Amino acid sequence: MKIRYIILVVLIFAVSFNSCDKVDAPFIESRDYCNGNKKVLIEDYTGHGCVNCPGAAVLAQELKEIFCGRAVIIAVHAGYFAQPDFENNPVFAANFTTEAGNEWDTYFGNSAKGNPNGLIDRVRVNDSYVIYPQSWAEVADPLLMEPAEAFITINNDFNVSNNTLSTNIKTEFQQDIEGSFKVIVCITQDNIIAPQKNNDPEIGATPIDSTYVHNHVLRGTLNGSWGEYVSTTGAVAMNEVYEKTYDIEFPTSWIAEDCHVVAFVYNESNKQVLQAEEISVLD
Amino acid sequence: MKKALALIVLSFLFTPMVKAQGFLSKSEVHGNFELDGMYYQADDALGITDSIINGNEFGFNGFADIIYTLGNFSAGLRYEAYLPPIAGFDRNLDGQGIANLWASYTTDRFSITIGDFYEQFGNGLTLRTYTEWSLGYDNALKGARFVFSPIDGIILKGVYGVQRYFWTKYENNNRGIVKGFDAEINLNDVFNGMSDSKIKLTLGGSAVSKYQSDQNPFYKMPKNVAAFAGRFNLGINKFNFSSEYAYKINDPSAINNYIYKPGAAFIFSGSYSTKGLGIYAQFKRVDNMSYKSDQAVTSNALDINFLPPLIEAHTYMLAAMYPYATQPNGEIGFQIAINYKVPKKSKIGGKYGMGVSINYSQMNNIDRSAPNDTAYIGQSGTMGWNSDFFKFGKQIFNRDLTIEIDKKFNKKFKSTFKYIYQKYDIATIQGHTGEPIVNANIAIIDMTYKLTSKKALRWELQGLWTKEDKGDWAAALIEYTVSPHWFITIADQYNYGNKHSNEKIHYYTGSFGYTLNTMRIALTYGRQREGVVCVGGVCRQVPASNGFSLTISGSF
Repeated sequence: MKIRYIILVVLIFAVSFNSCDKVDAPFIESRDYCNGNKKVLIEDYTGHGCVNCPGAAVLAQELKEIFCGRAVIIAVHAGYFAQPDFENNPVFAANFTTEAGNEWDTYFGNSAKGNPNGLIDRVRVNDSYVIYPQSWAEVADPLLMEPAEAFITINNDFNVSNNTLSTNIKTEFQQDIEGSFKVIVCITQDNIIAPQKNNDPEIGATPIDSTYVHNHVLRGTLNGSWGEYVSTTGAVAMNEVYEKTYDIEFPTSWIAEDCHVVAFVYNESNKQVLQAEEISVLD
Repeated sequence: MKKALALIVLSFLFTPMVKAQGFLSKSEVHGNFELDGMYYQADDALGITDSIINGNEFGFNGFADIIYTLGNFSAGLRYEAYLPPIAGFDRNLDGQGIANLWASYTTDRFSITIGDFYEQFGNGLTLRTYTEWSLGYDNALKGARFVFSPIDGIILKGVYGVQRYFWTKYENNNRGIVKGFDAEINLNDVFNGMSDSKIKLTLGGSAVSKYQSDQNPFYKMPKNVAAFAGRFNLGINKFNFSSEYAYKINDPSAINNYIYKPGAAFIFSGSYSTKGLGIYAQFKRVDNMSYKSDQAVTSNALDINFLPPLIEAHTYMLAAMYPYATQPNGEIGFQIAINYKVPKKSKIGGKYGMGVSINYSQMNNIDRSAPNDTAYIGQSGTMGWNSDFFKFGKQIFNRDLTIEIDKKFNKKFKSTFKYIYQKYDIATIQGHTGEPIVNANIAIIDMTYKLTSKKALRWELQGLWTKEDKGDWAAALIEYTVSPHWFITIADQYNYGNKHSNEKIHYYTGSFGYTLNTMRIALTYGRQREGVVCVGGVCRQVPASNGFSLTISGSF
């Protein structure tokens, strides 16, 4: 009688041992991301008062390299940690917030969930747009495996004499798709040196890195926070090119050689980004 | 699942086969609830401006558990609302609804539960699901549980399900599936010859496995990660010894920075107790033992196992300033506690005797060396590190010496004196990077004076002295109680030793409460200092705030 139960217990444990997958080295998978034409948009929601944000910024940059350049990064400074004079500290005088960034932050709920976090092509995972850095790679990976549904071509003409940019955005879809699609065009800037809270000594000084280099900082959009329709017919046609040119005079704080034009096309109904592109303002 | 459960519950409620009278007389409904509301206001001294509050003036956390029983059958639900969550709680809690729903049938020999349930195997090293309201923590398993006791002294348990992750529904393997089995045998009950033995022995073992699909593009992830544990509890006269060892196979995760080292945890405790004297000692070692049902999650959620703390848990205001949070990636330490009751009518004990307790605990980092010649310690995609099992690392996370004396002077007057020394690695435990280790001395006097049989006055005086962090603090509290209904408390914590004159802040609070049978209502106004609150080594941040808080709780 008792022996029977002991056998039962041993059997169950034996079965449990089978529920183990021991992984042998090498543990790192090498996946080739260089074959493909889809680019993924990584929006890194950040703020100069957020101690963990430099780590997320490094991760975004690493992912761009791992993805063979098939990632477009926007650092969106918004929410509590991005406030100028953060915690009444004049060291954090800089204001990197933007109207569009604030609106996106409110809509997608990023800063309310605690920075750093981000959006990956603005896809929803587990009922939430907000994706924490540790999940960025696994959310981006399947998106990069699919062929691009659209291509964006950016042509810039920057007039140095009057600090004015004229940028031409062409969007070409790879199939007929029903739905409303919009393009957002924005400016990002690299190499802005300004204090940043930081808790990772491998990245920079802690707890405040006063010479931190902010990259991909969203400076503003050229066509509103939510962009403009590429087509008003409720559908887009394969191989048809939708084109528009935008002009903007750069404020003095926008250093043209450090700036990029970023454009991305998205489905208005679910906000998901189909394709993103970026190019230096001076290219 | 929820629909199926509702149908079961409804069928029991309305089935015409049941005779209404007997049904009603045998049915019982019990429950408990708590509503916590906060109203926030701006406070310049705390750096809280209207623009920071930004219209979010209210926070509300509430729950109600309702349990229905009819003979061997019971069913229950738990409603929760966080509208929005009180500051410091995980924002993912935002929302409301039926968080848990379950039905259970239990006899002397077996019990089956479907829906959400809480379970613990042994000390929890391989599996523990629980809810802790003050942390906003709930890792309930949703699925099925079977408990079977074939004969007295043997308990077999099996669980299968997925864990709660805030309000996110399980779908498409968006988190792991957990299955577990536990067996416990009490030899004194099983073998007749041992039933009267002075040696009491219980043995137990558990196996838990989680399945999660490989969603990580960079690392080869094990889809099935299993953990095993063995344990015993041995009582010999006034001595008691218990131990548990757990082992987990490779489980790369965001918590351990995707290393492939197997995990291990070991606890051993021994105690001796006799009239007036209790001695307790415990040793603990944890090495890479975070075990979650989603390898990408780093927040306080989806823990399959639990690593019991061994540091004295302090409740006095200033003593709770530096609470220890369990370090699942590695910690090694011990605790020794001695409780002695100085006899009544002795020279020191006086008429009523005197309680003395001394508690010393220390927790270090484990000793680590690089896993091989080409990798650094903790490098992702490697075995992580090598570590000698019993070797203490040089880094001290926490050291705590607490000496407490309880003394009753006469029928009306009693007091508690407490001295605490703490060493606290605030950079590691609270993430205050670059800040030096805190050395703090804390003294507490707690006195109660009974004015009448129902009215009592209690007051506390506390001091915390440290050169690090925010410097010295003083605190005082006075509480007037009219039992069994009323209490009123006024307290202040003053950071008089802060290096920055604008941060020498009084954190004052005033509260009063009313209790009627099992219902309690309490209203508090004042400042909350920034800090960390921990329960069982699991912690959450508490931001500074100013405002009103209202708590209503009860059971029926």
